[in-house]
Amino acid sequence: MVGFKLNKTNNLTEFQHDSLCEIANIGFGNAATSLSKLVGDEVAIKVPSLQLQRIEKIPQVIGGEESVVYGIVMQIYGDLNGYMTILLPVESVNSISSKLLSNFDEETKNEMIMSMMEEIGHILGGTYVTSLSNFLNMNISIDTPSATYDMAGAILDLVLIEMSKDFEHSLVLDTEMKVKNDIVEGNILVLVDTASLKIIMDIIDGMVS
Amino acid sequence: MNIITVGMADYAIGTSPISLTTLGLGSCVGITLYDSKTKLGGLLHIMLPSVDQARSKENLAKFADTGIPLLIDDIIERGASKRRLEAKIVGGASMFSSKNGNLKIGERNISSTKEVLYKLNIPIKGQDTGKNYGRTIKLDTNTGNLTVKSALYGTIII
Repeated sequence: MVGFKLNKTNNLTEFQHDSLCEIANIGFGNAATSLSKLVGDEVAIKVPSLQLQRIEKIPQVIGGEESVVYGIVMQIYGDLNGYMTILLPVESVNSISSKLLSNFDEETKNEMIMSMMEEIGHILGGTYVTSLSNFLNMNISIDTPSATYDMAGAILDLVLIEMSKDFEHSLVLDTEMKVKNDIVEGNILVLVDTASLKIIMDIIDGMVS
Repeated sequence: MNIITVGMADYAIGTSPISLTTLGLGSCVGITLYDSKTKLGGLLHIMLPSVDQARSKENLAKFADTGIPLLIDDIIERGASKRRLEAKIVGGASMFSSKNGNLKIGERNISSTKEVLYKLNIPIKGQDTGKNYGRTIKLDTNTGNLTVKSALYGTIII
């Protein structure tokens, strides 16, 4: 197996793509399970789309820059560096809050939505990095989630700025999650810098050789 | 629809009736230049204040200090007059009150943008910057009006 390197067109080889997809699936799958427990319903995760992309092109690739959503942003740090962003439409957040915050009156509920979002981020993000840590045998952590309600593009902005200081490209893992009854859906986006990507690929190569 | 959408770390120039837009500015800054006589307009979407602090310097439109001169040179080359150019700047928000570890990148983007425009003698005719929310902007090259739209705080024209 050859070590990881970007080919001329900055594409991943099929093997690199498939193994990264598999790893992403493990992380997202476990995150979905933890969300299932939280909302008491089955959560399905789509096969993640995975690509290596110029950082400034990421908003165009993901699309919907102007759609107004709830966003949770967390930094991934340790042996790997990147960010996880969870974007949830208003209706989804309302249906989650009607389940989780059912004991509170409307006013208190509204006040608690951002804390609830941060808690969801904490659970999903925590599960994701734990499963990656275990699979890759690495130390990966996640920082305190920050939540806001705004245009998707503006929510992602800070993450892309931070990454673009040192890197031209980022690995983009994007998946859609959907609760069985269709009232909750959203996107999870994980960005991993190219230095971390090289580390992951070296580990994968070590596993198969 | 005669609209050009400018992505992150990119710029575009157009003349009436073309409009220039960039979507969902958070801590990034959108800088527009306008020449009212030739009705030429330019829009630049920068991510970082200065090329000096960056390890990745491939795309000069990413930084305020290299992107603004790039836009000015190009719009002059297409027939705008430098002494007629007027700038408007939007964005540079701090999206998350709790994430201040980034040394207020939005504020630094704004101050660098202002400094560069000042040094190049381009007056700032309008601005809507800072605070904690995202903005979409659209430059009408027929009038030079810049529409600033936000999710929760309505739409203004500067």
